[in-house]
Amino acid sequence: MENNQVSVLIQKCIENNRMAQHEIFHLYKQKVYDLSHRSLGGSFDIDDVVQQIFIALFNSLRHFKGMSSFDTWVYRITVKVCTTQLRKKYRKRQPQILFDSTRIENGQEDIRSNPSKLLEEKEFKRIIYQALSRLSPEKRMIVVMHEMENKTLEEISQILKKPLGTVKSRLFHGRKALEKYLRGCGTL
Amino acid sequence: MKKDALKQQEQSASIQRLSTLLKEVKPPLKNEPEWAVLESNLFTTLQKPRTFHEKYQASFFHAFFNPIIIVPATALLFIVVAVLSYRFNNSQIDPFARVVSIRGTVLASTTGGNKIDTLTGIDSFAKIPDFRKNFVFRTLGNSTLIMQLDQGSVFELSQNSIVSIKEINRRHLFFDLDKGSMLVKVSKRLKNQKFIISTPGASCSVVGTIFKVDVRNEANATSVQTVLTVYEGKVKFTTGGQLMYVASGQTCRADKNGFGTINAISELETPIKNISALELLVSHGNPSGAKYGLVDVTTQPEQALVIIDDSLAGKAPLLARKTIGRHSIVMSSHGYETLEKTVEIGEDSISRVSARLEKNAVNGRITLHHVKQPSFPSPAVLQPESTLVAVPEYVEAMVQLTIGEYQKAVGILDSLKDNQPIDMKSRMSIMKKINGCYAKLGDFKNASERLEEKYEKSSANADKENLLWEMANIKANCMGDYQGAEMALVELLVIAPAGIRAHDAYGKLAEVQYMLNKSESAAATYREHIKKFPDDPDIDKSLFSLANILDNDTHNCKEALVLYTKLIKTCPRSGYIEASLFARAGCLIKLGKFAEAQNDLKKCLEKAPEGMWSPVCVQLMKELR
Repeated sequence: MENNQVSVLIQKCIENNRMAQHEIFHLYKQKVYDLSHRSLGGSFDIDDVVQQIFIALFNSLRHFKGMSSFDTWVYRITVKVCTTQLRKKYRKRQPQILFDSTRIENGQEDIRSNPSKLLEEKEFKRIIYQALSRLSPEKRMIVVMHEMENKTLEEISQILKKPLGTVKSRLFHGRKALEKYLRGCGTL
Repeated sequence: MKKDALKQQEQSASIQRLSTLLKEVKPPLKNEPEWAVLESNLFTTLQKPRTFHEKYQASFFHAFFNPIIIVPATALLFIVVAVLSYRFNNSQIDPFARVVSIRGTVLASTTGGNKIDTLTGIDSFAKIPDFRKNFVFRTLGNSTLIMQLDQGSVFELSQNSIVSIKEINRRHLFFDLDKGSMLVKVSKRLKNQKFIISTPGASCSVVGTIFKVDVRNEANATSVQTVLTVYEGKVKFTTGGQLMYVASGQTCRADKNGFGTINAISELETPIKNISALELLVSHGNPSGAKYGLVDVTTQPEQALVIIDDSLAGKAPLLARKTIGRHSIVMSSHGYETLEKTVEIGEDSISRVSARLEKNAVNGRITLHHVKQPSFPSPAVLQPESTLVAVPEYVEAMVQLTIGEYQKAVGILDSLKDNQPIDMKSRMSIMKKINGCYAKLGDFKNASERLEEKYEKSSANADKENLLWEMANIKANCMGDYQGAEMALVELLVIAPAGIRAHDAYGKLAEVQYMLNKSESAAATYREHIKKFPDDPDIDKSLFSLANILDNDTHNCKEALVLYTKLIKTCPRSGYIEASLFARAGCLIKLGKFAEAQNDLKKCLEKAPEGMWSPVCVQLMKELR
């Protein structure tokens, strides 16, 4: 979608136009959902987090000045909400809840036909998220954005409004910690 | 971080493998109905009216990180904090500083001012506008001034003294003592708070202590001398650029030429009464909000019993805290006329009562000196309270009772009743006092009723035994229901005659019966206890109490004598030995065996030369000679 069209949509959203809000939701729902899921893992109610992200987005749209691209801005809000969730979880020390099977059952791929693959995938995801949960929310978000969302370091720096050096340093140490843990588990 | 470190890391095989693994993690796919549900929920939430918090959260979030707002806001906050802090620290008006007591005549004026006010009482102080800065107080002969400075600091300016208040505020307390002496109690100062008394040629600085500063202008001395005496804590003493610390129990002299030697202060030099007065003035613990003042009672001769408002306050000289208003004070000493005075106690001030007791002609004649045949001391000497007041714990308990600290008083009295070798009448008197304290402390009727309900429901004997014991204690100690306590204890001894509470129950039952004026029953209970549990560690108490009842109430001196002798022989390490020797001497005197009595009195004195009975022992021995 062109920048002009997005600007029009944003303007309409600010004016409380429901159609425009629906449009924005459809445009960004997958991106927001993917990033949320990758950064938080299965121990959160992702639907609820996605809902929170869109509410925050619509409520703060009037503060969007166009200094960065709208994609970056959406990313920034998503990262902030997810980081807050991770911090809350860290404070409350919630037990790690694994993925619910309903999500997989409702998936397009019929995994029920291949139970061993399901188990393998569940175990693999468990180990990865276990490793990610050992990182601080800041490092975790950077690793997720760079390694899973394929964002460049510059893009991450822009999203987080952090110096490039900080991003690099956090990525370096995050990777190192992940490597150490996964090596210990025998996954690497 | 080094530029190439990240690149090097990326090139390592394990990191590449890690990247591949991470990329393999894919979020589960969401189908259209699931998205539809999410969308519906989201827009339903958005349609709801937003709360204030939700409405302004985002705005605040954005505003907070906007430097245009945050910089002035921070600066404004900083200014407000600085102004408030400055005002708090340098406030010239401290609402707490006030004159508490003026005795005699005190002259007051501003520094260098011509107008001099004559203060003759606390009321006359009202005309002084502000004394907290550059103000001078001068006490004349036989005059004192007491001023409270803050919650824990107070000073007494003695007669013929001149003090200039340089500054009194929340941070600093600065005084110039030009003449005379000042006794000071200072509460713990914070790091930035100072308390300094300057004298001609020296300066005393403290952080929380009790001390006295004396300025002497002796004829043979070349310059004015400052004598610092420290009773508690440590005081920094400076003169002519030299500095030294004077510790508790030390006194030091200084003039403009330097310090003298540090000497220890003797106990006699310690103005205990004055210090106590200052401490009582600044003491807290007044939850009822009642207003208090102090009464200072002195008698000639000393050690007269002081009864304030029908309750024993202790022996003179005495300082007590009482509620404001009129109080009756009775001073009594054996061989002297009892004197009663009424005193008006003002808020936070000291009222002084001084009395000279006249010799009582009648009592004087019947002292043992004028009796031909030796006899047992007159009843007044052996009145329970007259012996109890010699016990410091009892006096302390009475003081606590007087100031309304009932819990503390109960603690002291309880330990006194159980641990001190006191006679039955004294014990009963203490029990009554304990009842009084508990009555002030709360309503124990409900507690007793709940225990009774529980007792009705319980079936096990052990439970019943414990419940009956608790009930008896509450009834006897807290409610004064001796009848109820007696019933509970009798039942306890029926249910569990050899139970774990039986030993204590016998003692308690006898005490309760004695309180009900059933001396015979009490004696029977003690007899049963001695018979049933001859090896009980507390058997000495029962022996002594039984002998005491037989001796004083049923006048069976012979049996009492046997019991006292049994106690002295079988329990040589008992705490009742001294009292038993004294009591046995009494029995022997009554039976006309004076030589043996003298022997017992001598043993009693040897055992405890400073004991409770020693003054009476000495007196009796003189008579027996």
